[in-house]
This record gives sequence, C-alpha cells and structure tokens, in this order.
Amino acid sequence: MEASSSLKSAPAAPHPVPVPADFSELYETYFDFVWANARRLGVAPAQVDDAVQDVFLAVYRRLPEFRGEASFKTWLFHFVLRVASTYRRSANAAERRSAPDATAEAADPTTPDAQVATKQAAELMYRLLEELPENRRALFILVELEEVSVAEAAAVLELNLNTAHSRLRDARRDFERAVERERAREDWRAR
Amino acid sequence: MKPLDEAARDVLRAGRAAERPSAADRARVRHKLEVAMAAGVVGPAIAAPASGAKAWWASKLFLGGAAGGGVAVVAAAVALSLSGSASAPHAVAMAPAATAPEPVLDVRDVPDLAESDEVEVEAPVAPSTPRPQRRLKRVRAKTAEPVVTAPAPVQAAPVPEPRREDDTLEAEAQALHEVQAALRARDSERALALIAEQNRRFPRGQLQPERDGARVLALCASDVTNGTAALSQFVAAHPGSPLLARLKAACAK
Repeated sequence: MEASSSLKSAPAAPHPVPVPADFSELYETYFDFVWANARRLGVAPAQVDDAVQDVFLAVYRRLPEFRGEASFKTWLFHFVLRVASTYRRSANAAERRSAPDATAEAADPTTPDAQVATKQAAELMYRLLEELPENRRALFILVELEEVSVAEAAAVLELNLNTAHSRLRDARRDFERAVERERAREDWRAR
Repeated sequence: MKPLDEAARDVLRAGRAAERPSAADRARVRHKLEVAMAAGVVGPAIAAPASGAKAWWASKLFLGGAAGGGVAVVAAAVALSLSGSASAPHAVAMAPAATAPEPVLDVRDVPDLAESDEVEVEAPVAPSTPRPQRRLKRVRAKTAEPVVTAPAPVQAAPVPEPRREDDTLEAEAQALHEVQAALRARDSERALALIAEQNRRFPRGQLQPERDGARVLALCASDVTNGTAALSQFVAAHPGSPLLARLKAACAK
C-alpha cells in the first residue's frame, strides 16, 4: 500500500517493513496522509497543524514498537484517529464553527475559480463525513478513501469482522443519504 | 455488500483529489515539529496499537496463526534529522526500544496535558482475545529523549500480584484523565472537585505529584492568589519536580 520505492526497511526485520529510514523521510512520505485523515476525522482547519504535529510526535516516540504486524499506514492511522478524537472532544463546537478556515479561499475574488471549486469539493466531503456517526466514520474512511480491506480496517479498529461489515453497510447508507440531502439543498438554493 | 452509489463515489473522488495540503502547509508543520522536538516536547502519549494486539494482529493479518514468530522490532536505527543535517542542534538519535511485549499506559505530567491538549490513550485491545495485563509506567517530565517506552525495570522485577497494583494505578490514571479533561475545558471548579475526591480515594496514590500539579494549574486559572500559594506548597512538597517550570509559567500568566 505504501510507496515502498522510496522507503527503506530496517535491516534486522525478518519481514521487510516499509518504514522510512529516517524520521524526516517518514514525515515527507506520510504528511499528506496524516493531514488528510485528520481533516476527514473532524479536526477543524484551525487545529489541523497542531493535530498533525501531535501525530508525528507520538509516532516518533512509538516507532520502535512498530513490528510490521499491520501495514505502516494503518498503524499510523491509529495515531491519527486517537489525536483527532482528542481534538474533537476538546474543541468547543461553537469555536469550531467560528474558527478561521485555512481553506476558505472562496471569499477571495482573486482566487481562481478552479481552485475554489477544488477546495469546496474537499470541504463538502469533510462536512458529509462529519455527519457519519463516530463509530462508523473511521471504518468508512479506511475502506472507501484509503482503500483498505474490510478485514484490515476491522483489525485496526478492533472490530469483529461481522460488526465491521455491518457498520460499513450502515456508513455507506448514511453517506449516500447525506449526499442526497446535500444535492437537495443545492437544488433548493439554485431555484 | 452493496457498494456506494455513484453520486456518493463522485463526492469522495472529488474530495480526495482536492484535499492535498499545500507545500506551505507541509513546510509550516515541519517547522513547528522541528521546534517542538528541539524543545523536547514529546507529544501525546498514545500507546502503539501493535503492542496491545500483537498475537491478534499477527494471526489475522500476516502470520496465518503463527503469531509472534520472530517478528522483530523495526526502526531501531531510525534517526531523526528533520533538517537533513546530522549536525543540526535538534537532531536526536532514536534509541531502540527493544521489545515492548505488553501495552504500556504512560502516565505523564498533567500540566503538559493541560497546556497542549495531550491525552493518554490506552492501546486498544483486541475484542476477540483475553484482555492482557497492562503494566503502567510513569514517564517523568519532558526530556530531549522522546523514547520513553522501555519498561526494563518493570519487566525485570518479579511482581507477585501485578493485577491488583496495576488496577489501582490504572484507576488512578483514569481518574486523573478526568481532571485533565476538566482543565482542558477550563473548568477549574470541576477539576478542583475531582482532585479533592481523588485525594481521598487515593491517599497514597502514585500520581500525587501530578494531582498536586493539576491543583496548582486549576487554582492559578481561577484565582491567582490561591494559585500562588498552592504553587509555593507544591515547591515545598516536590522541590525537584520537573513540573515546576510549567507550573510557574502557568501561574505567571
């Protein structure tokens, strides 16, 4: 799953594990992954810098414990999930709504239309993901966005496989309904 | 199982294509990370998942039931050099943590948690396996060496009835999390009430210094005069505490 071509595995590992040989490389390789999943898991734009930093600090400390029993990406996802959960809990909902949105360039008339549309697509996805119940969201993200198998996602999230299938089915249904609602709102606004 | 419908997939496809952080985002966070590491900030204490579910993950994902069999700790030689320069002042060699066969719950200083939203998170435990015994390891304050997981002394010492002791410390740590949550929510009154209750509940608790530190923080946040007095008491009770600098800084605000 990882871009192993640029990664070196630790020399002593019996199972080559695609972990970058230095932390700088690890940061460069997985920054996008951590950032995107922090946002997907509900970390507000104004807090995402701090959340990403926390993830890498935690990973730095725990990296020696990674044994290659799961893919590094899903191992890393565990940290993003925990940090995001903390940020969501601690963030005041009102503050979250009023926090300056680092990606809110739509208000800038000099921003090219295509760029605005791109940002809006991401924001729409985050907003719809946020509508998913918490116990389904991470599973949905892993399977639908990170393309992890249901079995592996279940292992990462410590779910029984049947439970994972059931929750994924519910999450898909929820997300489809959220998309339908959004489309209905758009239609209404366009009238 | 029914796959996502086309409209939903379109939203995800467009969203995923659009969500890449910019080079400026990457550079900005990198700089923050460098500064934090240079300052010895160790970040949130989150137990690594693999340590808590080794056999389960191994058997489920890779080893086909032959769990464990020689899976080694990797990244032992991983070194940190975010600047790319070996002589950078913040370059930190990451020491191998050897093996950490059991999940570790780090109990860290409350002031850090309160100020930087740090949180303790237990390693998740596989639902299909018996819950393994947890060892608790207290991590002292911030140091420039962020590897804090090697539980050698704990492992070496024979522990006749570790379960009971661990449970007590775990309960104390769990209770302290509530204090931390109250501090993060800037609810000093609740934090103080919790601390008082926990002082009664754990009269010889191992996390007394952390509770005392949390009390100083709560008081300084609500009443500077009382906070200063509490700080003096803390200094007298814990003169060498690594929390002192944090507490003084918090009370000076």
